[in-house]
Amino acid sequence: MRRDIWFFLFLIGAALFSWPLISIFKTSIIPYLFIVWLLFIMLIRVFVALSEKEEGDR
Amino acid sequence: MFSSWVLLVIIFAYLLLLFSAAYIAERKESQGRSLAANPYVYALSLAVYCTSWTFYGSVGKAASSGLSFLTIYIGPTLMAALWWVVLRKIVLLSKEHRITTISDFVASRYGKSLGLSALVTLVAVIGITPYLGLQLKAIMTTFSILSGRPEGGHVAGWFISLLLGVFAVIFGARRLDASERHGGLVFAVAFESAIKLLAFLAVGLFVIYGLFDGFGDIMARLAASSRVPDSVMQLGEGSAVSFLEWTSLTFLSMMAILFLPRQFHVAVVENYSTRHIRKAMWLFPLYLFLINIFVLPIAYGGLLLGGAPESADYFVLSIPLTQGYPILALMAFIGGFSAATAMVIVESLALSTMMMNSFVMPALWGMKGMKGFHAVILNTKRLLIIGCVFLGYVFAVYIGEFYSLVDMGLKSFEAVTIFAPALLLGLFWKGGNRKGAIAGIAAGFAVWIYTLLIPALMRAGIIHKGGALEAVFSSTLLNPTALFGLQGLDRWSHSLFWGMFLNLLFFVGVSLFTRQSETETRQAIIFVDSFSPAHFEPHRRPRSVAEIEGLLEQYLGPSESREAIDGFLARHGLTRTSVAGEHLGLLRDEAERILSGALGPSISSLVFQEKGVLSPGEQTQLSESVRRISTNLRLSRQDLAEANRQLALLKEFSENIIESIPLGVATFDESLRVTSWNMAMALITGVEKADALESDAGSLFTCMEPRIFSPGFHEGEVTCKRQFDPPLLLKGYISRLTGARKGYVLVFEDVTDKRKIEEELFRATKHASIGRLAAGVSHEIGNPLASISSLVQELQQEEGSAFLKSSLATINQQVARIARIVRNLGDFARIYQRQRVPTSLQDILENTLDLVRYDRNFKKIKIATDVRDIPRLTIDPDQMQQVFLNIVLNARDAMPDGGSLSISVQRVDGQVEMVFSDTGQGIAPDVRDKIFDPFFSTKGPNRGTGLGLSICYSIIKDHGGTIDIEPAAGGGTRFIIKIPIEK
Repeated sequence: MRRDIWFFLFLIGAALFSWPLISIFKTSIIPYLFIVWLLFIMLIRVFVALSEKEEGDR
Repeated sequence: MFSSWVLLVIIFAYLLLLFSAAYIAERKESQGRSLAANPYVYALSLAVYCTSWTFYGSVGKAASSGLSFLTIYIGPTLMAALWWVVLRKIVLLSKEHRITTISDFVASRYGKSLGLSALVTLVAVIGITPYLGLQLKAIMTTFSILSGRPEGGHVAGWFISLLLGVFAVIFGARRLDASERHGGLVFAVAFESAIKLLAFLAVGLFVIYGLFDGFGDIMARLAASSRVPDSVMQLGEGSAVSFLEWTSLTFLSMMAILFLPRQFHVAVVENYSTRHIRKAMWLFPLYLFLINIFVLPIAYGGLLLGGAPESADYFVLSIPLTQGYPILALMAFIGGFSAATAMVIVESLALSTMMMNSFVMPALWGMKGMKGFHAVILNTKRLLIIGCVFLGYVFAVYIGEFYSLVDMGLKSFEAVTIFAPALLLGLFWKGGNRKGAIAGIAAGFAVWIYTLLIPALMRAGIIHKGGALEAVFSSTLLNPTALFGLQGLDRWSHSLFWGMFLNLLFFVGVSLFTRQSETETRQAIIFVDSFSPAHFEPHRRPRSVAEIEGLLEQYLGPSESREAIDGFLARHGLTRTSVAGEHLGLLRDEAERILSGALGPSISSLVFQEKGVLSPGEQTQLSESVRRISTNLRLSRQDLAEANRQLALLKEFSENIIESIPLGVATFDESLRVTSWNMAMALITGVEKADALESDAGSLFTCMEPRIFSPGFHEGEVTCKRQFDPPLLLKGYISRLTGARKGYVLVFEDVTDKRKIEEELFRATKHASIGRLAAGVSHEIGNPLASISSLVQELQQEEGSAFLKSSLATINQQVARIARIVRNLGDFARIYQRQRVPTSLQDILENTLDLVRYDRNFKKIKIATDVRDIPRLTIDPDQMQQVFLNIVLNARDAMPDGGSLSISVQRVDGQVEMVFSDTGQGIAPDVRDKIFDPFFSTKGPNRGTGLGLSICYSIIKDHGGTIDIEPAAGGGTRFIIKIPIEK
């Protein structure tokens, strides 16, 4: 997988955990942080699986 | 409560278990069945990041300062997304160069600089030691809480520090090759990570479901209670943590996960395979998620149960203890102990290796010839490990009480973030150099000391306020918490901003304005462009295997060096006597890397420089050769650049010529695809260059006859029949291209105009010759004929027989005919000079038509004229009338059964064009070219001299015009006369 993909993933995460996005969920910040955190980990898992599959195909 | 002795026995038993786990892992590794070489153990070992700060401090932070504790784990989660790019590169480079510490990594990137390595080590030791002390402080405090004897904590701390030091020595410094992975140590760290997670989850579940009815119950009670302020459950404005602080702490923890020495050690040095990184990218963040999932319930539960926010750091331990669950409390103690010991062991090992490579080895360098030098090195390293642990102990005992766990941890995070610009930019930017890195790190470190360390020491009373210091610190510009008047930032964001700003400024600025050494350039290329240095390493030729082994033995000891040599020989299927040539070079590189692992790259490089395989004389010769080669290469480069420039100019020149010549030029590859197509070719064929390139030649020359790509065609005339324009007559040449680019070149020359001119010239020459002949004949015959005619007319006046009279009449008739022919010849030869005057063509045309209008042969011919507005022309009116009359009479002869004759006169492009179009029988194509030849007639004998149209041709040419003939659209013939308008 191209390295840009990983930077893209990183930027998604950085945006999700930064102002102003987190300020939108100010009233329910605790569930937001934990749910998004878990989803982001799952997203990394998906990207890793894709990159492993791509490597396997090669 | 547990008695101190019981606790010490439990600690001892736990450490014994840890020793056993590590020992078994090492045994398995030596048998080739490594327990540590799998991604799950790798991911768990990375969790050495979760120290007692995580185990105890997160709860404390959550209870007192809200959600900011999460940044310490969200930062690494974000950074994990980049590990496949960043960490993998660091791992591959470190493996290739046997780099074992972060200081060596930075130093190696910037030309193996010992000074830079020492600076990084200094920053790390000063920045991390408080963090090390924090772990021992946690162990001592929890020991005191669990034993109920505050005074016993220090003794236990001393004892535990010693045990941890010994553990680190046994599993981390049993041999000197620091680049060798420590499977036992890694497995033990992973084991401890599992223990601390289980312990924390157990306490969390106990609080949520043992003391409360789930998390919802805790939240409901919180809502009804005033013990927990809303500010600790929110982010941003009105909460305990601002968005800026949240972002700063996230960034700090992102850097910490890469640059903390212990993280570098487990993630890079102890990495068995880069594939493990991929698994750890989600397993490690998942671990962080799980170990934090019960932090808030424990913190809020502790507060609801009456705990004070100030003592929340140890809620994990105190809640089970106060609620009457000592076994669970003991389990929590073991969990916290695991978190602290894993950190202490790995951090002390990493710091000691850094100090060894950066400070001790350069200091001991003078003793390198000493017998048993390797033992000195090894034992020094062991002492350093124990020294690091006890340095932390001293800090914990004497200074630690003034700070919270989180405070000390974050200071360490700020300290290691100083390495970020030099290290991260150094991986992707070749321009960074040693001076820039030193300047940047020094600036960042100065800011760290001024904005974080000094205020902390002042709070601890180590630095006393007052006097000059008071004046400096309370000034607007130099206030450590509001440097240069920058206010409104929390202390972490404030220090981070100034540290990173000055660090980057100095690093980039100095790098841009100073030069790199050759070594720095080479290392920059290796680190930025490639994972492998194979292309850049000069091939040095060691003299023998024995010499290399002796060199290793000096620093590693006999058994280690023998093992290293034997390992190399086994891998390459060699024996000691069969190593030569390239393998000797490889062995030398391997030895340098092994020494680099033990002594650091800077020292290793020095060792091999000193153990140069060339004698001083050979070195001088080599230097001279290198200098000469360098000079020649520089000159060659200049020559090459000049030749390249000339070649480019020549190419441009050739292309311009080919483009501008009036010949159509095209080239084709062997499969007849167009490779070049000049402008003239585009004009000739009507196919644009862009459409022609890469096209099949067969599809481009469909108008050509004969086919130019037919076998046997090399040179010849072809006609290009076009749809709307007159056909083109081309001369084509095809030749084969030889050389590197095989194919064909086709050259077309448009000879349409040239052929027309040739024909005109031929006709004019013919007319001139015949004209001269006609003039001679007209003159020579005309004079005697005039005499004959006079005499005949005289004789006709005389009396004579009827026969005589009849004969004289016949003679006179034939003489008149000859005279007419002679006069025509004279007209053709234009022997009579005429005067040209401005005349109206319309008048001449009307006069001409008046002459024939009443001729009976014109009765059946309809004449139509269309004369537009045309200027008067300076012409000979009689000659022009003769031309018109000849053409009109020809038209009459061509239409014996009647028809129509249309005459149009108009101005076209600076000429007057006259078109005579009849509907007669037309002129056969084969005679069309001869129609203007003298004495050529299609009317048969006795019906014309064949000079009429020749005379017309001569007259029009004489007036600078043209006369052409072509078939009329509906049959018949069109005569087109063009006469230029005089300006």
